[in-house]
Amino acid sequence: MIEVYVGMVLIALTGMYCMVWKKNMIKKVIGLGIFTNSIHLLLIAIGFRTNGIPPILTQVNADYFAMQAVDPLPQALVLTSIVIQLSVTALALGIVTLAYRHLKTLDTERMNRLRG
Amino acid sequence: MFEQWSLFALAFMGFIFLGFLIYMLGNRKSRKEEMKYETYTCGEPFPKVSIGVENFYHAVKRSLGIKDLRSHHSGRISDYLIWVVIGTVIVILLTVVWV
Amino acid sequence: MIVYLLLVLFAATFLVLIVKRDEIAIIAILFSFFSMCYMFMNPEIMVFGFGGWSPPFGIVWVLDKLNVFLALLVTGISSVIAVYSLKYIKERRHRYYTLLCLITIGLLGVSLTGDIFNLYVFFEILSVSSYALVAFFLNEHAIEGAFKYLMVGSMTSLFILIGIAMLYGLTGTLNFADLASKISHDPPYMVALGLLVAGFSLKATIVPFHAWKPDAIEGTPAPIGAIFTSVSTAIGVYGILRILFIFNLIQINWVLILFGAITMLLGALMALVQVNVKRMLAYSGVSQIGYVIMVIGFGTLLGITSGLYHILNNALIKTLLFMGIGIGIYLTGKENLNEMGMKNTPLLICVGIGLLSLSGIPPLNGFVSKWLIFMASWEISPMLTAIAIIASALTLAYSFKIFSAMFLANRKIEAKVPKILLIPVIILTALCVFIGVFPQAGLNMIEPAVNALLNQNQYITAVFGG
Repeated sequence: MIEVYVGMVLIALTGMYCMVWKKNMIKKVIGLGIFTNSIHLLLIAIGFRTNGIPPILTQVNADYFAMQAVDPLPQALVLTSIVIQLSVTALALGIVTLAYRHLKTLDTERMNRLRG
Repeated sequence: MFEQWSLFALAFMGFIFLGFLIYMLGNRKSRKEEMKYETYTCGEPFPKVSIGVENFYHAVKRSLGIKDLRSHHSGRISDYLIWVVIGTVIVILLTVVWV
Repeated sequence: MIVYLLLVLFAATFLVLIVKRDEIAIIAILFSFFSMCYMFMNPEIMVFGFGGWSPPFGIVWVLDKLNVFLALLVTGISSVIAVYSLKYIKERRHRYYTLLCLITIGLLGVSLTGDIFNLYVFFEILSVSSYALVAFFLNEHAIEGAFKYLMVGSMTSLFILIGIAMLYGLTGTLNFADLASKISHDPPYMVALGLLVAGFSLKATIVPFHAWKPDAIEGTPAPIGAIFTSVSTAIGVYGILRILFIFNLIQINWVLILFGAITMLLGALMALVQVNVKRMLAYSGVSQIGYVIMVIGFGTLLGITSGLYHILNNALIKTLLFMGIGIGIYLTGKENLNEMGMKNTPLLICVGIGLLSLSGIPPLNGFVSKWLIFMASWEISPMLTAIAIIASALTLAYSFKIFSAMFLANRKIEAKVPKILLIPVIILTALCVFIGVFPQAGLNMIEPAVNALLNQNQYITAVFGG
């Protein structure tokens, strides 16, 4: 189980590195997506149970369901969060398209007209 | 603490109004004598210049460390994001140690 | 009952786009303000479980006195801005009102909720519609400000999500009252607290996280600048307060005092040398929130009272000032302080009263909260009072710069102000003077909120016992 958490930290650091260090706007949006997905991995890993069964209640597994099922609440949280990430990415790419149309560049180093 | 506050506030506004009245009364007589004090520029036309508001605190710009602060607000997103990451790390460290 | 309020606002959001009449949005936001006034009169804590599920299993909305105070402030400012933008925004107004309704839904949801993941969802609704509204004018400055805000805002929202995930993993619940009874002060909980405070500090513009604000407000229309500086920062501070309430840490916190003091001075110093008037007011907003954060860090009764009072006063004053200079931008078409001279007596009186109140001059409301802040900081350390007084002096300095640029310039234009733009300004000026002359009116709203914040057991028994 510890490998999952270590993997999550590494992916999160990669996503953060992408957002902070890369100069292209599209690469920053990709970095945002990577960072968000690492948090989804953390959420699902929190609800995991060793040798667990999928959290679907049927007539067959009604007796041992509560003792063996994986926690379904973080999975619902992740579904909500995927939808939120979708809308933020859509808005971000819309702004990137507008930036290319009006500013003629996708380089954030040259996008500093507002400063001071 | 605030029991006589309303009386104090109304008295304050009354005094301001009284001062305004006295100022307007005194202004009526001295309006005519203003014309005598124009600037003498040896017959040349006196240009009406105005210093822009940009230089209102001109003397302060170089002191008080404002130049360093303005250079840090450089307008580049990468700098802002680095400040956010450093700030988050400092907040987490201070919360774990101090609280 | 609360479900109907949300339904009305969501319906207004879509109807404005389909039917293409703006008055629907204004009526919906005013309806939400009046229903919050009605909720304010109710003296007990109200708990609404969505779908009939009881508290630890379902999502609840808990309306205790702090929540209702903030919801009242939020919907009041939103309705004033909605009326003001009827004349200020000239094109694509339907999309503007849709986004304004969405921002109101987000703000209302964050203030009233009792479940931590619901808080994150409504916080994201608020953030995404804010990003869209910053890019509203579609010129270079707007797009640049929007991209900066989007990058920084989404990164800190993800920090909040990591904090929520850690809290769920450690305690197993998402409800505020349930979390409050299960949280201890071990290091893993403290890391989650740090992440959550850092996430909410972006909305509340505390120092390392404030850099997006001047750029975003320079690109956005003036009424939305008013919403960002007055209400969005209040919601950020409420987020920090609620997290500290859950962790039972409303006591002296040197982290908040340190960051608050730095924010006060940095905001005031940067505002001295700006040329664009919206940017200057944005830095002024940063500075005022520094006062609030420092005073909340004290944790005393006087401290939290003065902090909440300053949030109320800051909201009224900043909205008044942004609307006033918005009229200036509407008439002259320029945002540079060099070119904004105007000659109009009602606007001079209103903006003058706003700037005097910002600096803390006696019979106005800014003086009341600043006096309480000075008294609260005198108990802890005289050096903090000295820092607060220096920041007040710098506030007076840049207030005079704005006033002199707008009304004492050499080249003045003389133009008639439309009535719809002037009436909200006069209403807010009257409120400022009224709260200044009768400060007990403000204290009557704030003292129940402070008592609700300091009393954790009452909240837990109201959610679970009822």
